[in-house]
This record gives sequence, C-alpha cells and structure tokens, in this order.
Amino acid sequence: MIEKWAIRQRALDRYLALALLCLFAIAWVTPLAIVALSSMKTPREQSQSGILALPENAAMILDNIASASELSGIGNGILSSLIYAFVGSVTAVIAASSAAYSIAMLKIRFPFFWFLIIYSGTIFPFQMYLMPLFGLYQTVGLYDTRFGMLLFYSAITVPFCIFVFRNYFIGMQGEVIEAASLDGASSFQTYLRIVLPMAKAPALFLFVTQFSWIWNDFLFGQVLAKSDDVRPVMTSLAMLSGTYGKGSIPQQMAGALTASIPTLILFFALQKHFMQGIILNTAGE
Amino acid sequence: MNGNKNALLPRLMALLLIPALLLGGSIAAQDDPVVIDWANDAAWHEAGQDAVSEASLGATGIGVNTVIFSSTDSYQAAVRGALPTDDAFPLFDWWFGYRMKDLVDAGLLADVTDIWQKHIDNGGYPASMMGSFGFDGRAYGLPKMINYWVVFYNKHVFAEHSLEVPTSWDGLMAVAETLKSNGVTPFGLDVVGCRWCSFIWFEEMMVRVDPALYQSVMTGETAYNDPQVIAIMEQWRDLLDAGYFSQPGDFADNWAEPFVNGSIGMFLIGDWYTASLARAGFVAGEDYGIFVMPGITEAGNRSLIIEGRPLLLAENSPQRDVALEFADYFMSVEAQTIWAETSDINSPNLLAPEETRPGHLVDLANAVANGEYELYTRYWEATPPQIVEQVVDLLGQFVIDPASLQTTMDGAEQIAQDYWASAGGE
Amino acid sequence: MRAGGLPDTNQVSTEPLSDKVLVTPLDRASLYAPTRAKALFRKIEPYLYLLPALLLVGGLLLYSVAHTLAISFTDWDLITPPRFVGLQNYIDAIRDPTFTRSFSNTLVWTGGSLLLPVGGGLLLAVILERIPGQRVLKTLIYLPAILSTTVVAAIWSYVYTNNGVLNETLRWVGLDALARPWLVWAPTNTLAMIVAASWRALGPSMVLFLVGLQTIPPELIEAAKIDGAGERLLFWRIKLPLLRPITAIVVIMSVIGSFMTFDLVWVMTQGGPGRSSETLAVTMYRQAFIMWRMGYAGAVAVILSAIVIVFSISYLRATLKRSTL
Repeated sequence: MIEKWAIRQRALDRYLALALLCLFAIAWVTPLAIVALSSMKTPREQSQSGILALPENAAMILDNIASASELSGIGNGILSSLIYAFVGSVTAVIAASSAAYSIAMLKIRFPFFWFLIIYSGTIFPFQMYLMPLFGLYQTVGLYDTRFGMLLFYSAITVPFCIFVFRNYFIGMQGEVIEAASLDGASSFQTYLRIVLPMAKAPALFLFVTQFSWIWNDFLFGQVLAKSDDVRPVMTSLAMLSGTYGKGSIPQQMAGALTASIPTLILFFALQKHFMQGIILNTAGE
Repeated sequence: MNGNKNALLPRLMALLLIPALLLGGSIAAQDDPVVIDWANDAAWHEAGQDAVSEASLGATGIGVNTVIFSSTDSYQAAVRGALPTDDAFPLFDWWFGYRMKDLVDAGLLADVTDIWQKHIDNGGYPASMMGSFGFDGRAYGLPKMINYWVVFYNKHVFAEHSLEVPTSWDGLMAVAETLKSNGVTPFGLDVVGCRWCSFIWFEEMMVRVDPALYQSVMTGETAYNDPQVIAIMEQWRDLLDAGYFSQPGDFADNWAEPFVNGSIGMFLIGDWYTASLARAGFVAGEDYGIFVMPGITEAGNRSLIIEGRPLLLAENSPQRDVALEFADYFMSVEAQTIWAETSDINSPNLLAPEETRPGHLVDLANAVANGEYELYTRYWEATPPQIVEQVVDLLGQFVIDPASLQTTMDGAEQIAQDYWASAGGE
Repeated sequence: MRAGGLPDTNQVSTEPLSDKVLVTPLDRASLYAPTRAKALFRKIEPYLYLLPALLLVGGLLLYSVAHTLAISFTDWDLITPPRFVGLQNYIDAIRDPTFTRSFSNTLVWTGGSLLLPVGGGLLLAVILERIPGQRVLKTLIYLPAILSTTVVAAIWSYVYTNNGVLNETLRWVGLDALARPWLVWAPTNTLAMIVAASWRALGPSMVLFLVGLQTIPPELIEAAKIDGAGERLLFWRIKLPLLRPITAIVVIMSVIGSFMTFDLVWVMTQGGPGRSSETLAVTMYRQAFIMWRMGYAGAVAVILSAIVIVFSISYLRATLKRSTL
C-alpha cells in the first residue's frame, strides 16, 4: 500500500519537475523571441508596438534580412569568417591536442610549466591584446591580411583547447600507453592513430565552441583589418547598430539572426557526437 | 629586439620596391586614379563618402576608400596607434576643440589653414568658423559636419494636447506640465545606456542661464562648485524632481523608440538625431519638428550649442599631399552638395544650394548665418577630455540621485583642479 | 634545440661497447650519425609537439603580454613616446577608490558565475539526465550560447527597461513589489547583468556536466543503489567526486571569464551609472581606450592576470592531485 503510494508520488514528482522544467524552458527562450519578433517588424512598428507583440506581417523578415545584408555588405565577411572560423579552430584543435599529448603522455621536462605557458594565453584580458598586436601586425606586414587574422584566431583559441585536452589526456594515459606499446607504434603514430580518434568527442566539442567564438568576434576583426574582404562578418554586421549605425532595430535583429545560422547548423550537426560520445577521464584524480 | 628583427623584412621589401615605384610612379601619377583611405566611426556616412569619392575621381583623379569602425573606442585606438607611423590613415574623422588638441600638440596633423583661407575668400565659409578647428590661428581640421543641439518635439503628441512650440522658458515649462499631467514624459534623457548623455542638460542649463559662466567653467577659471553654478544645477534638479524627465532605466539602447512611440514628448539632442529618426521611419516636418530651447535669462536666449565633426589629415601619411588635394575638393560647393544631399545633413558651405538641404535644418542654419545665435562649443569638446570623461560619470550619478548635487559638483571640481594643476605643471 | 647539430664526441663513450668494436672510424660516421641523430630526435621529439601551440601563443599572445608588462611601467598615450614612471601606475591603480569598487564587483561576478552557470549547469545536468524529452530541453538551454555578446546585451536591455519584459511579467503575475529599474542601482545592476551573462553561459557548462555524467560507469551507480544510497547521497558521494576533472574545467573557465567580464557590461551600462557597475576589465578598458593611459591600463591588466594565475595554479593543484603537476 505504502509502496504503491510512494511509486505514484514519485511519478507525480517527476511530472511536476517536468512541468517546472518546461516553464523554465519557456522563460529561457522568451528573450530569443524578442530577436525573432523584432526581426519581423517594420522600424516604425518596432517602436510603436510592444516588444513581444506579434508582427503585422511576418514576411517583413525577408525584407529586413535583404536590407541588413545590403547595408552592412555582409556578403564579403561571410566567406572570410567561414575560413577564419573553420581553419582557425581546426588549427587550434590540432596544435592544442598535440601539445597536450606531449604534456600529458610523453616524457618532457617540466610539463606543468609548458602547460602554464600555453594556458596563460587565456588569463590575460583580451582587450589588452589589441594595441600590441596592432603595432606588431603593422610592423611585420600582417595588418589587414587574411593570414594575419587566421594566425590570431588560431592563437587565441589554443589556450582553452589545451586545457580541455590536457585534462582529458591525463585520464586516458593508461589505456593509450598500453595500446601503443602492444602495437610498437612510434609516438607520432600513437598520436595520430590512437590519441586523436579517442579524443574525437572533446575535439568536436572544442571545434564547435571555438568556431562560434571566432565567428562572433568583431573587435579584433575591426582593429587588425580594414578592408571589406579581410574583415570578418560580425565587424560588417556591427555597422548596423549603435547611434552612428546604419540600420534600424529590426534590421539589426534580422542580421543577427542570419549571422547565427552557421553556428546553429554546426551545433545541430555535431551535437550528438559530443553530447553522447565523450568517454571522459574520471581517473583524473 | 623583436621589433627590430621584425621590421627588417618589410624594410628590405620596401627597398626593392623603391626603384619599381620610381619607374612606375612617374608615369602612373598622371593617369591612374589614386585611392586613399578615409576612416570614420559613423557607418551612416559611408554612402555620402562614396558619392563624394566618385565625383572627386572625375574632378581630381583622387578617390577615397571608406574604412568604417563601428566601435568608437577601437576606432580611436586604431587611428591613434597608427598616427605616429607612416601607416596612418591619410584622412579621418575626429572631434573638434580639445579632443584634437593632443594630436595637434604632438605634431601629427597636417596644417590646413591655406585650404580654409581659400574657401573663406570664396565666400563658402564664415571666417569665424575656422577658429574651432584649430589653435593659435592655424587650422588642422576641416568641417565635415556642423551640428546644433536643439529640442526635437513629437508633432503628434503636441497636436493631441493642443500644444504650440514654446517661445519662452515659462512657455516651455507650461508645455512640460501639460505633457506630464497627461501621462507623457516631457523630456527624454538616458544616463544608463548612454554614459555621456548626462552632460546634455548640464551644458544646456548653463548656456540658457549664463553662457559666460559656462565658458569660464570650461577654461577652469570658475569652479564647478561655484555658488552660481550650483544655483543653475539646482534649477535642473527642480526639473528632475518635478518629474519632467524620463526615469533612469526607461530606455533600451534605442533612443528613437520612446520618441517615435510618443511616450516622451521632447528630446534635447544634436541635430544628427534626424538620421536616427529617419531610420526609425519618422519624417521631419510631418512627424516631428525642432526648436531652440528658450533662454531662462535674457542672456541665455541667444545661445546655441555647436558640435563640429572635423575631417583631419595625418601629417605622417605618405599620401599627405594627395589628401590635401582631396580635402580642398571636399570643401568645394560641388563636393559639399553631393555629400550633404546623400547623407541627409546640412552642409556648412554657405554656397551649397538650399534645395539640397533638409528643410528643418536650413532655417536654423540661416538663422545662425544671420548672427541670431551665439555659438558655444559642446561640453564634450569644450574642456579637456580628461575632465569630461570623469565628470560625465558624476553627472550620471546626479541624474539618478538628484540629492547628491553638492557632492557631484565638489567631485567635479576636484577632478578639474587635479587636471589643471598637472597640466599647468608640465 | 637544433635538430641537425654537430656530433657530440662525449656521447661516444656512453654508447655500448659492443657496438664500437666491429667498425672502423670511417664506417662509424656513416653508420652512427643517423642513429645518433635518431637518438637526439627521440629526445627532442616530444617537444616538437609543443611547437605549433608555443609559436602561436608565444608569438602573438605572450608577445602582447610582455609588451603590456613593459608598458605598465610607463606613461603612454599612443601618440607620444612612452615615458618611464616605475611603479607609479600600480600605485595609482591600487589607491584609486574605484579600483576597490571594480574589484568587489568583479568578485560578485565571480561568485555569481560560480552559482549560476556552474552550479546551475550542474543541477540542470543532474535533473535532465533522468527526464524524458531531455534532448529538446538541452538544445533550448544551449541555444543562447550561439549568439554574440552584443546581441545578448541588446536583448537583455529590452528585458530590463522599466517597462520591459521582466517588469511587465512581474506586474502581470502580481509581484509588483519586485518590479524595479534593473540597471540603475548597485548592486542590482551587476546582479542583473550576471543573470544575462549566465543565460548565455549556462548551456555550455550544462553540456560539459552532462557529458561527464554519462561517463560515470553505471555499475558504480547500481552498486551504490543496492547499498541503499539515496539520490542525495549518490550525488555527493559518487557523482560529484567523479565529475571532478570536468568541474575543474568549468570552474576555472568560469572564474577566468568573470574576471575578464567586459563586453556585456560595456554594452549595457558602460560600467555606470556613476561607475557603479564597473568591473576590473572595464576599468582597464576605460583607462586604455577612453583616458588613453595605456600604462595604467597595462598595470590593471597585469594585476588582473596575476590574481587569475595564482587562483588557477592553486585550484589545479588542489583538485587534480595525481596529475603531472
């Protein structure tokens, strides 16, 4: 009797929790609705109707996207940003995973020191990189080049990656060394054939997050480059906003929505690999 | 060490390039168009600059490539960072008055006095205007835009409550009272999303009561906590206490919105607000109008706050001479007409045809040209930025907590004293 | 470090004798050079893996850090040559009363981010793990993470205005007393912005925790359940300890992130009103790009980094005992 009641109670609890979670999820996405609804309005409608009021004509979003991309010249930036975000994050993942491999699994002296050196790239406020890099880039001729942008984006994303990989590899140590010694593989073969495939999940997770970071950067894109075909997409898009900007609020929102599409697609495409695939180092202790 | 090593490569390359340039340059100079960079932080100027560039290519063979920075801070950083080097942007927008002083002092700006002189002699510009664009009789900037600070009022709101444009301070207060009692906020003022906006009413109240006092505070001769200044601040405080202003936190970062939807009736701001309103779909003359705020005293009746946006030329840019040639063209009636027409602004060139200017701004410009107003430089540029940048924070604090008037002004005076003491010492 | 270095004569004596016996000196050069090179290569090979990361980080980021460190001892406005002032900037920074406020605001940010994105992420991960429809919920919660800070700030400005989404909702529910100007007064403005930042940061930390939870061997959980452990005990005794490597990442990144808090504050309040919501990173930015005191800003940046690095090292040492520390 009591047991049955307990079971029913537990089921009730579960539904209650679920209901609460749903409520939470609705509250969670409400701010997103602001973006979506605003992007479907005319500038005047945006000012005169409530922020969560439904748009008069949802198809307005197409006009807004069209005018946003025309005003900001977003087209130039998309290709550059795709290159930066893709190549930059792949470079960072490779450089960081190989460094973390060396730090966590190979015999080097002062591994923690090397780790700190590379990791210290994250502990410095990003805005302080602006002026030294601006000066350096102008002196060495990297200013306003795609290569320069790519170098920067790779460098800035390495430290976070190395942190995740190191923690992951330290947990993997035992298995890898075992597998490798059975094969008689060289250290490079071990890295390529054993370590990397095993690290597929964190690598994909890092790829997605660092891709988003690079894709969303506008500050460095603005200071380290000046021409339309070198500057990244967010720098172009930012021209719409602000007091001195070109665009209306609906155009800004439509632009922001459009610009999130690539990161959104990437997240959905890779989500199941890193959400379920990571066999994590629980042996890190 | 790093720097030297790094500099070697570009230097070697430059050495190799010199003969090529000497050979090619002499031939190319005549025929090929030259395109130089023109940097600014106002994206909405791009179309206007592009149009001028096209015309200039035809007239002088010099075109400009507009480089937009959407963040004002990093714009200034990039310009300042490059100015001492030969990578400096040859043409760039800046702020006038004290905001260009350190660049002039460091010898980084090209002298444009001759260009000014030529166009003043043509009758294009009033001679008095040149002074705001330089120091000690020399000019270092050209007028890209001249803006006046006026009250924008929502015509629909005024019509609904049968209000007329006020011609006296009492009239303005009556309008404010009517609006307030009908649930409309009389004046919009945002000090949360906009850090610097707190100075708008400070400078306006000062010039409406005692413009001479305003100027002597700017030069450090009168203290911020001088009893006369405090008395003016108290008048502003009374307006805040009367509920004539929007509440702090009323606005999201969009100023056009509350004005367009009629929740505020009036907005005191630079006349460039016209462009923001146009983007929100609000039409001048039809939806809104402008007026100069009436004086609180007789002396304050003729005051008008002016803001100039200068075009500067980098002394160190290898393209300096080309930039000078372009700047000369930019001052011309032809270029000014194109620039003002595409940008929906009022050209400072007196000879620019009237029909190309926005109607509501022309009347004001003509009134200024006829000497109906005394012009006072905007607070932002009227006194050293080291003072301004700190005082605006204090004034912002005052707006959200009007009771802190005395501490605000004491604090401001402390900042000013510290600055003038150290500037005097150097 | 040179890979093709000269043969080292001292090395010869350390080689096994048997190898030396059968070959003439002439042969030796041709036979052993590759071997010795190989030995050398084997020695330096592990370091080669570090090279790309070191070059990228060292050449760009650490170069900038060193540059800033040097500048922090000078007075520099970008347009006139830097002037050496010794420790003056550090002294000025610490003595400035707003430095103390920025510092305490930064600590509030740190605490807030440990509570919301880290604690909240962990809680959500534990709840979502055993609830139907978790895929949809996970995705919804992750969604804000794909937006840029500027957009997040713009959205939340609309949420927080006096007649914004939040206050209207509160009034609609009948909680009028709670409605207030969210961005005007300290410390409410900082707390409000922490919520906005967490909205974006919660998703990724939740995902990391979920990933960690899935790797806990089910046998362990089963065994504990058989032993009669309740949910609460299970969480504190089994799940939390086993999540430690993940927790380390999330905690450290969140602490660093909150110490560097800048974008969101700069867009939403610019540290105001009256500098009441300034964080250390905002103070630094303000000195660098508003006041043009690059040296002063550099000093603040150095202090900021020093705090973070001391925290990171001690935290890493405490949590990951048996690693290659």
